[in-house]
Amino acid sequence: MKVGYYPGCSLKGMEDAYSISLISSFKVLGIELVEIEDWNCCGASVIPSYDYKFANALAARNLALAEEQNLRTIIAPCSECYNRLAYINYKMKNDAGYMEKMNKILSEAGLEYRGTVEVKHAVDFLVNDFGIDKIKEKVKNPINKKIASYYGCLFVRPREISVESAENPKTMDSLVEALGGTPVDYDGKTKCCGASLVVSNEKVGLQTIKNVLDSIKETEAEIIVTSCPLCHANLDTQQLTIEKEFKVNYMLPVMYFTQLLGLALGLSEREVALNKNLTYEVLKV
Amino acid sequence: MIAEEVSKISGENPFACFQCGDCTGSCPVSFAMDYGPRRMIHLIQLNLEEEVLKANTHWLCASCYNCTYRCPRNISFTRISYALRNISVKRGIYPNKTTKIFYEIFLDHMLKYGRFNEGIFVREFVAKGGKGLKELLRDINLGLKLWKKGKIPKDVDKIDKLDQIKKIYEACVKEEKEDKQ
Repeated sequence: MKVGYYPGCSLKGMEDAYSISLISSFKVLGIELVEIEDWNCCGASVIPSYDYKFANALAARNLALAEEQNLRTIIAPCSECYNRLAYINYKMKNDAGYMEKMNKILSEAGLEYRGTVEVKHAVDFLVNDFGIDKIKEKVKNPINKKIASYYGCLFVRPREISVESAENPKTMDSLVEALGGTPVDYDGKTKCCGASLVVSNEKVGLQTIKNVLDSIKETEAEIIVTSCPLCHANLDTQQLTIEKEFKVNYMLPVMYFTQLLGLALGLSEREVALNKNLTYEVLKV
Repeated sequence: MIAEEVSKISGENPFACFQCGDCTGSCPVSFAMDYGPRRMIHLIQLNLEEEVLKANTHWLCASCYNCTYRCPRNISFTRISYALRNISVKRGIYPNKTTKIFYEIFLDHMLKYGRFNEGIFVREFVAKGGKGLKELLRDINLGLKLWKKGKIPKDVDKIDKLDQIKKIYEACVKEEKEDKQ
């Protein structure tokens, strides 16, 4: 089974552990990822802040490239990329006037988008398209742990591109269960980690991350799983900074859902780049 | 008029708001804002431009879309925030030096590489004074840990058809100029 792949900048940079584990675990399941050639940055939250139209056109260029390369479905593992691409895809497909406006801009670069591509988040694709039952069949090492799935924001919001209810999502929990884990319930599942606020306004950014960690700490979770490189960097990398700044102690290991998946499918820690997580040292699998 | 400008950029209608406050109640960052989203929308309705642009609200928005998801009037304050930032940036208004440096480097990478390059970003961000001395000293250990784990990317990941990005950018700038005339 082949599917289009939009990695995004983060997965090619500091958070390459996500792409390494995504590719290796999907391979075990027989899913081959075909990277969109010459994809560009989705604009994240910074370019829309500069120039909303430019940001949307940047997202549209990626859709046009995918179409040109005959990729009918593309998966975006980063929630920010997913959000940007899926929303512009939705807008263009459902608003003919908007489609025309965007194509006018794209035509300056010799591109056109006709609306034949489907954008999916990696979790959504895995659970809802590939299917839980097929994953269960391949589990070799059940992960018998209490696991908190952290969904964050952009996978469930806004409504137009929401994979499921933003108030109490279950997709990742069902995956955790299929891999032998016990999902824990907590009220911060879709509470925002502050995204890039930790760069632009560190004091506020650290507080929003702390709010999420506090809500997980109240549960008996032994592992946090994430599905977005920004959420992951905030909960994993910044956890140590928060412990220092607020004089608290979490010791909560964080990993990507693809790392958990790979381990359950029998891959080694190295094959899912587990040691790249800063909280790796407190993890006892 | 600020309300009109906001609508034009974001496609949102601030006048549809009936001030229920679901947005502010749902906002994860309202604790640090000068005005919560509900009050900001009210100020926009009243066209109090100076108060609106002086507020830190739109700069603290983390684009989580919680307000958008729960709004009974189908308004996205997230998109209104983006529009307010567009308006501010064009007038050279930033909430702090850090944000200005962060944004400028990001746009530069977009036009120079077609992608955001985190390794280069960290170096440029520090060199331009994006971080205070206290935070820098605190982060030395963290930086070492990241480096040891190979989490600092080295290569510039540049796209082949960079001219397409430039043409798209120019087309957007041109349209904006034509709109103003």
